[in-house]
Amino acid sequence: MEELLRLLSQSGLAHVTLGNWVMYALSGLLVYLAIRYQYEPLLLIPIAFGIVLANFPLAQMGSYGDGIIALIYDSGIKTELLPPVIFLGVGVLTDFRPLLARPITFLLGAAAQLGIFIAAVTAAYVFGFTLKEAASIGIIGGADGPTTIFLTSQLAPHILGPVALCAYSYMSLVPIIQPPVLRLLTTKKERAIQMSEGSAVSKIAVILFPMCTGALASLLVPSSAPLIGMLMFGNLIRESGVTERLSKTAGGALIDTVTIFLGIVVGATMEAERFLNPQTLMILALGAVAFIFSTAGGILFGKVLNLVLPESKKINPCIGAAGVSAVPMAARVVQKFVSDDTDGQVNPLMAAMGPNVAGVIGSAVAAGVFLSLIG
Amino acid sequence: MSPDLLWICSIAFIAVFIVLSLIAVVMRGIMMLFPDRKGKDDAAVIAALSTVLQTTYPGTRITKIEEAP
Repeated sequence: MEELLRLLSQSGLAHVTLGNWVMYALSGLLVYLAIRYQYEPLLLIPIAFGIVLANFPLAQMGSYGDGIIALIYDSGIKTELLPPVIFLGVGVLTDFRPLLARPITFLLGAAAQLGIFIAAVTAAYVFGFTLKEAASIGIIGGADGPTTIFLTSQLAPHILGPVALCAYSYMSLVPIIQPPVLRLLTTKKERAIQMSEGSAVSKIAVILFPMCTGALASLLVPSSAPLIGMLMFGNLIRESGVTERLSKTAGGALIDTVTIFLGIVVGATMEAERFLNPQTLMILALGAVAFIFSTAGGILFGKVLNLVLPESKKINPCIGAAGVSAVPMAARVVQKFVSDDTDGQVNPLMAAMGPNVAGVIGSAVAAGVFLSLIG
Repeated sequence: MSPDLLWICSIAFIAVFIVLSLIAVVMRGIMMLFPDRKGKDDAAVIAALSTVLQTTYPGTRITKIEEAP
């Protein structure tokens, strides 16, 4: 009997805290959102399960413990390995033709990084976060999970859990966050702008794009090379047309495998005592600020461009909102918003894909610049 | 909190613009150097037209394909 009592006292059950129960509930909520509303299910399900694992007392399944999850964290996140591998797969899965067909949309992708910097400044000056924490929180506005994890794991690993969770949660909330901003910042006339067709893109240009972009970005901002380099490598695999096997692996099994590890490890950083504090609420609020200002930045820059563009080349400023990355959801949100508003007369999906994929490059460059200046 | 952050963010935002603008200019140049010629000599279109033409007017040969405005 005494042994039984001793065994019970050493079990996890005897050590579960109220905080652990809160985290189990949060995990349940994420699973519910992923299954019921399809909110980023590929990431939220592993993250949710990682949260549960990390909050089993004495199980050593947290990312900061001594178990197998910590082993994956140490070898995959601390070493910066997993996010660039995800980018390799993203490169394979991304078609940059809509961007090349309208090179001006590169600028919209740049402008839509505004939220990163507004959120970072707000985090530091209003909420008192340190420089490195502020930059990590700001990058949520890039709406790019791997970039967020890449930067935060290097600058402020202790807030990786809330920052990553915030990034993925808000990415799935793009259909809720963006339409009010679009409505507020554009007029009916602007939403009805029918854009001219983009230029045709040759096969040579499509093949030269990853090589030129990889070289330029890596030379100008070397610290962005792990992300941009892998993104462009993946895209070259896709576009070369002669590496179908590599393309299938990188865009399929490899990215899926890495997503599983990344998700569960990020979830496992969220132990109750680290996650349940006022800082997390601040990060959630700042993430919303970042997303809203990034959306606004893209739209407003579209309006500025229209001041100088000739009538025939005017762009629909709504496509600027797609510059926040979150590929392809942000472009779809813009398409639905504009189409609904114009009774189906204007359908800017392909045009919106331009700034959408430019945003991926833009946020990776922003992360690289932060690493160079702050890291 | 750091007094430098505003400056760092300004530099970073400008850097993002410069890098993406530069890529845009380079790609615009490449696309001008290597324009898409698919519209002029798309093998699939020529093959389809040839097949139809051979059925309707056997023995004829396509020498020029033009798109009416």
